[in-house]
Amino acid sequence: MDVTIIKLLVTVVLISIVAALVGTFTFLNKKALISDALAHAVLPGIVIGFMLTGHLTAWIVLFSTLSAGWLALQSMGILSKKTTLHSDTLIAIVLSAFLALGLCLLSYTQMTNTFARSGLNDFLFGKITSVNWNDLMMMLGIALSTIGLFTLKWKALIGKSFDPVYLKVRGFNTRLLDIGFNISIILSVAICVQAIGVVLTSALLIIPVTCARLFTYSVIRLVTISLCIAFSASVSGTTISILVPHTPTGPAMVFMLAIIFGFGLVIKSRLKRNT
Amino acid sequence: MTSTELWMIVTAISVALPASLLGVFLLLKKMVMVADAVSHAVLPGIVIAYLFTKELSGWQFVVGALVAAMITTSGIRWLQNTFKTQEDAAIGTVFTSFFAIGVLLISIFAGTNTDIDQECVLYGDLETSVLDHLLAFGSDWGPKTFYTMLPLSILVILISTIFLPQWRTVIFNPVFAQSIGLKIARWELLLLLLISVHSVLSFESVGVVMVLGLLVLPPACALQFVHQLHKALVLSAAFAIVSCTLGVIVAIQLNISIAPTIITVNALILTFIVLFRALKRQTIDTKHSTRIQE
Repeated sequence: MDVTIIKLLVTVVLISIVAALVGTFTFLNKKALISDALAHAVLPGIVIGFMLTGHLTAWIVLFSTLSAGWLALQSMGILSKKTTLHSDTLIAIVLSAFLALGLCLLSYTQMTNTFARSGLNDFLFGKITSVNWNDLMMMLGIALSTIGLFTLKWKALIGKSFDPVYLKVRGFNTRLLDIGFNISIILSVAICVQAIGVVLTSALLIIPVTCARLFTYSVIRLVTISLCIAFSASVSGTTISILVPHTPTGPAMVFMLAIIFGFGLVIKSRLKRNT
Repeated sequence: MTSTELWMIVTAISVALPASLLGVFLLLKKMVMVADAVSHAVLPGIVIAYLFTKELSGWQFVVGALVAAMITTSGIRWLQNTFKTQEDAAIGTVFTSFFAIGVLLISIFAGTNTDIDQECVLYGDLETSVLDHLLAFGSDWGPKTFYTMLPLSILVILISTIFLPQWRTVIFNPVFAQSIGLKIARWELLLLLLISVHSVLSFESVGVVMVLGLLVLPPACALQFVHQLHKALVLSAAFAIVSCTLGVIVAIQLNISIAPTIITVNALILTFIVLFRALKRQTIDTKHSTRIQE
């Protein structure tokens, strides 16, 4: 097998694992749209990182997405404390403000720096073939730490999703857990943006688990089914984007996710009719 | 200031004004993300209409938008009602799927050398759309975009002023509204349909993603100051006009894209308002030991 194909496969597996794990818990915490806002919000971080250093290496992308994502979460928190706006509105405000800032900076850098045009535009709609070995090492690290966090804190996370008050009453320090969970959402977004792009990253977190939820209530099954869905959609989407010219990876993957979700709906309604 | 710059400001205002009015209703009805979904989901409608007509204007676009909006909203409701999907997941699933289909259609059929490309979906191109002038009766009447937005602006202003009492009842007292025979679902649908038409008509100048900022930020600023519907509408329109003017001037000075700049300026205004009010409240609250947290 070709080295490039192995690299792509490993990337897809890592992305799917992280997306399935984090996606399930964002879904259960009713934070699905927050992941959408975060995915849009990392764009200015990436562009500023590029403007300051002039490179787009794995570590710069990681650091800048982390700080931008954290800033976005914090500004959502501040707005919800200081204003009376509904949470929906807060998500929309942060999403559009950060994305607009990112696009402003993007058009500014593209005017002065022609190299930026190719590298940064890949982050809008994603290009999985632009992933190199350094990125892959970083992804591996993030995936392992996410798996570690979720296996160690599995019960606490489930508790937090279904009954946060009980967790608090039992004297569990939910603050630390919250921080860890938020960081893992941002990190998962960080490794997804390169392959899928800022606009559609949230789809890989939301659609698999929404589809899995049609068939099961158990959390472990939710994770497994959404892992399978995310993996098959990303493999087929990547194949499409490589075979068909001018096709960005992100939309191709999300298109496959939508098809799988459609099948899921058909099967579910058949099952419903039979019982 | 040249006449082109002036036309840019006027065109930007003609795009932002109806959005800021519709946004007030959206924020108060708490359906911002549904509107976001609708404005993303019109993309396949636009692309299919474009493939038929090969230009970026015409009634086909409005039809495409209305159909896409109907499919999106009914799809979200269907997932919620039939399959018991929670609302945020239903919204996230439906609009990302539609948006992906739209982008794929663009990249496959429209190629790379046409008016419609993947980047302009994101942030539009007010700079070049302003240059396309309407020439009639032997004289220059200004940008075409302005004249496509003008009827919608007038329609939105009329709908929000004439039906102000109805909107007020539907938003603040839905139970009473139902008892006097106002169908809430119909008013919500009207709002979403107007938004879908708006995001299609403004597609060339601001793109389908950035339009969310125009919908949300001016009303969010306005609602920091006032608590009455008619005042909120006026103030939100004022914020939209101010941020359009400032945004266009800044964008021309720095030579960057206009639509994202307008929204960034508006976001900065909101940041200042929130910070200012927080500081002011803090100085008042220093006597009281702690603020009651909800």
